[in-house]
Amino acid sequence: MRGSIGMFAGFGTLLHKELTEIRRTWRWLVLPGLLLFFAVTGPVGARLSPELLRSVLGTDANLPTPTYLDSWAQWTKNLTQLGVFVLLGTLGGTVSGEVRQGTALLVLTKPVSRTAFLLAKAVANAVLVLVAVLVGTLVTWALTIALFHPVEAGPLMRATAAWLVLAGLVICLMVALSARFSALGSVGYGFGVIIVLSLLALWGPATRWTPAGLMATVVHLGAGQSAPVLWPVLTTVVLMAVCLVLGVRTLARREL
Amino acid sequence: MTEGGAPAVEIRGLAKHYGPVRALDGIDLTVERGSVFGFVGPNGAGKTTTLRVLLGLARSDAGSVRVFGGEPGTMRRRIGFLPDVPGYYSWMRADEFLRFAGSLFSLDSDTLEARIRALLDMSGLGGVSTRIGGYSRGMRQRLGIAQALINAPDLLLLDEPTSALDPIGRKDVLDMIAELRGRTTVLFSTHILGDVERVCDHVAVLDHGLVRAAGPLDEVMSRHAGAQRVVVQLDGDADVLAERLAGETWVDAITRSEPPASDGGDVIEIATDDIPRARRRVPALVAELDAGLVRFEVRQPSLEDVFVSLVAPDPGRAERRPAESEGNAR
Repeated sequence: MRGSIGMFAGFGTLLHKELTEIRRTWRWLVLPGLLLFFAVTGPVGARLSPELLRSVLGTDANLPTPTYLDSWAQWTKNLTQLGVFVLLGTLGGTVSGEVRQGTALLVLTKPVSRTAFLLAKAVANAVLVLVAVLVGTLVTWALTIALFHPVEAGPLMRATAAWLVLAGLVICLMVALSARFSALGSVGYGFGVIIVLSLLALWGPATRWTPAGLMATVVHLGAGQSAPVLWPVLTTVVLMAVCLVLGVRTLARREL
Repeated sequence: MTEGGAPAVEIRGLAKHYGPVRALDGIDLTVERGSVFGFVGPNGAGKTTTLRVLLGLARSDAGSVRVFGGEPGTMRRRIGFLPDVPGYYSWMRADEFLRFAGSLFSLDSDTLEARIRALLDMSGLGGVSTRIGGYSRGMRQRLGIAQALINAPDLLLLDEPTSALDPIGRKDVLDMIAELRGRTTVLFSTHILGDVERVCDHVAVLDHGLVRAAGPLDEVMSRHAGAQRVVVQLDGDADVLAERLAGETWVDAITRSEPPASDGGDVIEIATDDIPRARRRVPALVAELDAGLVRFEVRQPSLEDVFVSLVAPDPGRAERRPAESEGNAR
């Protein structure tokens, strides 16, 4: 039919808008700033923690000599414990904010698909997280080399890659939730999902086969230990796809 | 069918409920191509809901809506829209927002840049380099109209386009709408009846989700305006004159109204269909009473009179069914 709207109509323009918005508003400061802080304080903290502990516990305290693995562990712990919650907090109003402000009304009355509207937000946020994490990883790697040389970067890379998959799930989850709920509601439900995954991680089979294992996997990999990766990553990717499909369907049905 | 002789907008039996509230109760409306159509009604009448259904933003519970003969959602390339309170990305400048909006219509860059320049000039935002976040409400409204025209739409839907504008801004917008006549079909909702009288050739009066009257403006006016009115102001008490007029057969009704603040004396309004007789009898009666006639004015019925007669609360109106209302506009 003449004038019909394609499934991804407007995606390029919307993605460009999202990336420009990240660059020109506070959004480029929050997550990258926090990750840069982690990247700097992690290696320094790992290197100085024995001295700090000795000063507290006394000079006779027998503490192990820190290694680069302590630096990797600090980075991955920060990512899993704080990075995830910062993502939850900043992505709560991804779609609902535009609906509330009326910008969605102006955009979605043009020949743009709602699928493209939602996917552009997911992709733009994924790009932001990817760039911020890459920069943070490089900084923590460089500082760790300076403080602990020599180092083996493998555990850091594997753990960070696994966290990026987890971050992808959080992004898809929050985009989907914000297609249905307010910013506050989305953060609340997102927080609930993370808590449920954390509780599930206490059950062995869930750790090996489901996204619940991914948080523990990140920490184990960062510490240079082995951990189940394949199935947690595969099931997380599937869950990401499910979140996006549900988000698209929710937004498609939503009256504006 | 999506072309040929299909009207710009064709609505049949449109109904929409929000829980127990009937926002639209089976409206019928036809908006012919090239017309400037005023969609008037009190707050909550269903104007915005109708526009939302036309845009595919809301689903109807019953009835059909066609835009140029097609489904509303598939005709967005040919539609320009301004909501009542347009929302923008506050970090953008006006030219950036227009460029963004035009890109969503896949306009080529030469066409887009030319339109951006023309629309910025038209909206008076050409020299404004601040971000939209710092705009006044009037500036935001003018930008809203500019973005609604970025695709040179065949159908322009405007929801209360002049409500936030000062008199000069309002005049500019109405002039712009008038200039579009014949080239673009304009459907705009408003409760500023003077705007409709000024630029519209067709009108529909909506109330409680029903079309109370619709059609060419002059037809609706002549059909529903009722008796003409003669305004008489004396330099003193008008009670005796009112008593004498009450006995005249050509007088339909007499009402008292407030005199202008600067003048003394009473003002009465006489409803009548016999203006020539009023012209003869009122001065004669005033002379008999030895009173001073300050003003004698024949007031033509306005859209406000039509609106009040159709929309003003009356005990039986709430019980009227859709079949009793008029519906179609051609």
